[in-house]
Amino acid sequence: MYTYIIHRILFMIVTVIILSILTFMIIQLPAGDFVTHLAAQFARSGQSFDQAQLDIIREQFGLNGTLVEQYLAWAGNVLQGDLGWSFQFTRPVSEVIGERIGLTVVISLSTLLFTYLLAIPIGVYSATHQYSIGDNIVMFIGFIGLAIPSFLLALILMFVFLNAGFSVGGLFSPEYLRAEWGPGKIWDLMKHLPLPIIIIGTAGTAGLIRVMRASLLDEIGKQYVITARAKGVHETKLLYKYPVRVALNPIASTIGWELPAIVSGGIIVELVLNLPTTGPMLFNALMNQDLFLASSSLLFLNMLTVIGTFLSDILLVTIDPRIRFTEQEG
Amino acid sequence: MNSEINTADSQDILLEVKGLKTHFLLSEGVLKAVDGVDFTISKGESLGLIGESGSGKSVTAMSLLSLISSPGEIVGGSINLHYDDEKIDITSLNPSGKDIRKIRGNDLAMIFQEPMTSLSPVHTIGAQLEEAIFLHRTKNKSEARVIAIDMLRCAGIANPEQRFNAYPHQLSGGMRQRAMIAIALSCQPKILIADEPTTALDVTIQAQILDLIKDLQAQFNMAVLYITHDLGVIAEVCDNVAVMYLGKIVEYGAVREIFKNPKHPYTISLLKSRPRMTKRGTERLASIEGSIPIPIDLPFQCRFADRCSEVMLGRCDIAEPEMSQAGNKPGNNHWVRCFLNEKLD
Repeated sequence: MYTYIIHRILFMIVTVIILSILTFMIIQLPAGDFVTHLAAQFARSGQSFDQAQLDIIREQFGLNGTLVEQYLAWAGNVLQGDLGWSFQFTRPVSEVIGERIGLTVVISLSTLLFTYLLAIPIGVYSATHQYSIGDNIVMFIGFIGLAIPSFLLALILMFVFLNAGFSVGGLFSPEYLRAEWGPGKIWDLMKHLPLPIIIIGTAGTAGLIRVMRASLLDEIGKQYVITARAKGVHETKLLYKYPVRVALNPIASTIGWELPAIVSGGIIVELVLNLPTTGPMLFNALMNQDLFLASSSLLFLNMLTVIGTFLSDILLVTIDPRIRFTEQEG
Repeated sequence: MNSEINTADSQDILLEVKGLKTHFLLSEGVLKAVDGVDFTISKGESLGLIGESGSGKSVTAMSLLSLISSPGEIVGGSINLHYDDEKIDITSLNPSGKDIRKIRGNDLAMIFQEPMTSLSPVHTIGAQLEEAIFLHRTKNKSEARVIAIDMLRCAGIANPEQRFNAYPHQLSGGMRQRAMIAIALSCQPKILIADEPTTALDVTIQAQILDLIKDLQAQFNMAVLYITHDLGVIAEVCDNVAVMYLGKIVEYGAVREIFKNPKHPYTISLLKSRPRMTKRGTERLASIEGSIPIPIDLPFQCRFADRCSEVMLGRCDIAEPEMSQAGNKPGNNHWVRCFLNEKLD
């Protein structure tokens, strides 16, 4: 088991390095860099600038070197804990990400919680009452939830909430936007959370209900369930102890993938709702060729994906003894 | 109906099944999987229920524990479980209620065909064994563990203390079936229902498992209902045998009697279709013409008429035969559902 974990960690490091090279290259693919972007902006607004100035900026940030040189310089800095400079915000990348990550994690974790707490019981209900009226209603709503793009749902719900007299958009009312943290601000945040949570979580919930229902239906008729029933186990206990337990495996095996999603969030929805999270930040960084901000946040997401997959595997190994066994064999 | 089918003293009767009907309400129609089955099981008896796939024998077994799930339903008859001073009709109990749960695993226990799938893959053998013990015998943890390990040892599992913590996939098929038997017997049931207990096992393991059940049957003084399509199993372990065809019992009697003197054309062809060692080894295996129909919308006639070599037109195809006693000796506990037998009267 320990050699397995060490193996996996070594592979993870290699994967992250390869991914960072790839993302760095892809970000650099579009013609020009942030400086040309800047020049275009100056030109558009009629400001004067001279080429020498731009060259100095390029020189300063090492944008003149070859791709390999640029990558090595950036990677070297990252290893020393320096994520680089955001051209767009004219601040260190770590600060830009840092101030958004907290709220992003709050929104994403509550969305995740919302998704699982809603989807698993509904999926269990749906599977145990297959083809009943309740099941059909759940499936119908689920399909709609899956089919409606979340940004459209965002627009519709914003309209509805606005007409009902709620403040929508952002995570704070204007009066708390610049306020210090305190009970009032937290309460204000709580009032703003449900809307984005519902919007970001709906599609995931609908999908998860289907996964839970299907995987439970697969298990519920299996022989070991009948064996347990023949022992005289209570129906409810039976359901949760045997088929639900086994049916959770596919969900547990993907829970780690949610880790990067927690940080990247639902970019389009967050743009529509104007949330101060990392999703829109990454989007703008890519649009504006803000090289170091984009590379560093993507590196961060890559690492979370790899770690998430690793955690899923470890979780699966813990809850499913069959997998443990195969690994020891292999 | 034939309440007198079994001549055993009524005090010795453990389980009395009368007119049991288990139907499945499908969109194609009502599938009458079990359509009027009667038999009794006495203390210590081994009864074999034999029939080909689709004859309703497994559904009969599941009905006994009220384990039929939708769209299936027990629609008629009674299953009386006899206690010292009372009888409980299992068909009258709520299938997910408290009363039936007290009987399942405690008075009536069951083992299944596929030891691969009949144990939960994510729980240890010990946990699954203790579950039944906690439900019916003791709430004390250390006591349950002692009983569980003792049961594993009884079931012929070497190193029971280690196997206790093993998961099903870590055991061989034969070991798993032994574990299954240990679970079923852990609460010392009055009757063990063994639904094709050896079908999925190697032939050498089959004999071991049958011997084990036989030994434990004597040790715990319980009755066993074997559900099987294997005449070899019946010959080896059963006292009495009921031959089932299309939801009904067509012949019943002592094993020796049925093998020596089968009356029903179906039983006769079943016995003929056993593989046998011949000198030349080139003979084709006898088989029964046709295949068992799906019991939806059956015509009112003898259920075996279409495949019967002895079919009497004008008789077998216009009415259904009742059970009648075979042979002229009174008290001969050999019954057959065939007009040929009635003709002899």
